[in-house]
Amino acid sequence: MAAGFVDFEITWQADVFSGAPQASSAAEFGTQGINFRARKAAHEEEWHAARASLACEVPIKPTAPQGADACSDVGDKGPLSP
Amino acid sequence: MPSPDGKSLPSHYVQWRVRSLYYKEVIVSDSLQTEPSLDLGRLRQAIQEEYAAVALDPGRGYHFHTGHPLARMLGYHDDWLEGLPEGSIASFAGTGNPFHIGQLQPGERVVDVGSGAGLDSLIAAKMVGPDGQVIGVDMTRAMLETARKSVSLAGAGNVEFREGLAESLPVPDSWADVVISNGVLNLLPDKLAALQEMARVLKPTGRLQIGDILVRAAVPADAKQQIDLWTG
Repeated sequence: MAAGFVDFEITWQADVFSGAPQASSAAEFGTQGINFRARKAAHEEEWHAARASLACEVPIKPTAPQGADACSDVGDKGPLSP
Repeated sequence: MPSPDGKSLPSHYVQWRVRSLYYKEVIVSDSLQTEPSLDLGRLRQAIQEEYAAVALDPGRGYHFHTGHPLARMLGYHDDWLEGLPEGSIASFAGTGNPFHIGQLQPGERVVDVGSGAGLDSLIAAKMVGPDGQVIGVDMTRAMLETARKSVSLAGAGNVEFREGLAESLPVPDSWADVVISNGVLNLLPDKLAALQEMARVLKPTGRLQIGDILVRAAVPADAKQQIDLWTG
């Protein structure tokens, strides 16, 4: 059973840990604060379509140069400024 | 890493893509595994101790920012905070801004998963107005007490806080128009269970608006077993 969300998108990311009063392991792992959104699928068919588009993206090797990713139609816009 | 046309992609882009795909896979697919040997009871206890301290002594200084400075850093508007009790703002410890993604609409029903001291729930309550409803869920009693005091001080009649876990939300099926959460999913070893619960309580087409964290570097398997790294 899966979560059943579609239209996933990271909308913002930034370093939210540097300068905190106590040291943390955040920098060691390149930790960023993010905002993301998604939407519960309206029905099973929509969710299955989202899974199919994910299967297009799972290989880590890029299929196209940055900014021209043929498989990026699920709302993945890359790093954005706040 | 070279692209198909032979040009090199920036390494930070490649790493970002990997982590982004990881998150997307969690959201959309069924392939996420929990951390099998992690002591869930110990982890929850450590998280409760850490966040009880934030509720009771927000000015002590932690490995994350808190309060007004954090809210400003994350882009919380002054008018969202106006009139809200200081206790909820001082103990705020989010990592993002669920409202940056989109403001909530009057009359909407909202679930705040891991509501902490209640700041996001109170902001949501202002946005949805008297015809809307907000349920905040948290497992840390000190945070729940702070949040309930703030509701009383704010006179907000459309928000309540319930004790519970993200993996078993005390909310009926298909109740919510929006689920928000801020800095909580990263603390859960079984993220798929939490996301399934969020999906269960959402109406079809309901929205997920989440602040959380993303790591650019791979986390070694042994590090995932260290409780102090989960909380710090």
